[in-house]
Amino acid sequence: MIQTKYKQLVRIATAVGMASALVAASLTAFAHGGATGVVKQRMDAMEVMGEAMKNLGAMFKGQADYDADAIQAAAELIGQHAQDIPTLFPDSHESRHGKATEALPVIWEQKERFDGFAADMLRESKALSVIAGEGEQRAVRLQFAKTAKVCSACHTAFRKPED
Amino acid sequence: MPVSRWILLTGTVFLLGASLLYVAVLPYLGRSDSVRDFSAITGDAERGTYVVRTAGCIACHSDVAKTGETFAGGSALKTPFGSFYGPNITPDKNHGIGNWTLTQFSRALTDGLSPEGEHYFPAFPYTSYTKLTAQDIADLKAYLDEIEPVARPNRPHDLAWPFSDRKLQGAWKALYFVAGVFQSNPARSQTWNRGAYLVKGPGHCAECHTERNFLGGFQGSALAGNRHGSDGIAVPAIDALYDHPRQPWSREDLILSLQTGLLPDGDTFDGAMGEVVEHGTSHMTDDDITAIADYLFSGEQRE
Repeated sequence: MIQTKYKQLVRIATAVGMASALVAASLTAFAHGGATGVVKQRMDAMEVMGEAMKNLGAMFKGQADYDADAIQAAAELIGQHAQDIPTLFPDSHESRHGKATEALPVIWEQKERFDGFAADMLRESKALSVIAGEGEQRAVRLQFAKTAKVCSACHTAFRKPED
Repeated sequence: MPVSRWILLTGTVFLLGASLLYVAVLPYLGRSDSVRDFSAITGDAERGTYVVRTAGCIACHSDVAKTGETFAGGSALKTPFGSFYGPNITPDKNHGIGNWTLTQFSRALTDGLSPEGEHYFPAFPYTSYTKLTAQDIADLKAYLDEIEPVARPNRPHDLAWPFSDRKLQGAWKALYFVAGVFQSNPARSQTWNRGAYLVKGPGHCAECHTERNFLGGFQGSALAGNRHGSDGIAVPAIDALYDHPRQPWSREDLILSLQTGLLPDGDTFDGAMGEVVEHGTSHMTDDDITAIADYLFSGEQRE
């Protein structure tokens, strides 16, 4: 009968729909604990900056050869991402509650302070690029330390502690 | 006699016994006297600005997140016993410690006792501060005497009974507190001893990095980590960083991380350790940070 066939069709359509949704969801779940949209964008940016800091840190710990050009390149990369930070944390539902986000709600209670850290990051990484070009290793190490402290200060105030 | 009578009798005897202990024995428990002799010592406020960094006073005694005022009282330290609020230690005479003498100040740090003779809860880490030298204590007091007084009232701790009863702390101290100044190891270098002092005394690292039993006393090996740290965060072991299962640390890794908060993988510390770096270790000299690394990498801090 037409009624039964219609019901069957609906059932099949629902099953196919759900299966597709599951596949789509599982594909996005591969990256960053399932983060999507602006949450994933900012996690990617942080990862790039972290990788750069790791490589720079290795130079100052005697674990990698000192390379002024590499330092400048890394500093510039960090600066670029630092500029994006304020827009990567909009006051939207997705931004505040997106899956896997480690951003603390206090960011939006103290947005000026948060954006201030991003500005500090830009300023210190620019200085790092300049000082790395000028040469004296001790001065470069000091400026690298200054830059790293901005990462740490912002995370201390605004990122959910890892368990 | 029927069973109910026995129960009543035993219960009454027990209660009487407990009350007697509480009133007649407990007040005398855990009362050490390790107050320093300051007769030959003058505190230096400028040196005190450095001691305050090594001792990490700012994070607990300031509500940096909310008010930005330093030393006028802290935000909650959440523990399994409830929440503690660090008091005002500015020289305000009503709400701070403006009326305290150097001896009273010392007694708080070295013996965990208030000027009124009441026990402090070990959330205030006198278990580590008891190791402070007389000079460091005097310098600290000199510094705190000169900062801006702030009339901010202390917030009472939010603790569940019986943990809220200060008198019971006497028993806790009798079990878990050993008062006394730091003793250097003559078989070790000056640098090692300086590192040992900084870690065990003002740095009070063991307070977070050591496991505690259900009563809050230390258990297990010092600095071997605490899976159930305050605020519910697991605190890593630091007694054998070179043996870390996933990511062994080098001395240089530790030195850079204490100076900047940067971890070997390019990430940074979070939360509480981030504060330790921000307000404490990042302000310390290269020599002192190196000394700490020397001590922690010597493999002999399980003492």
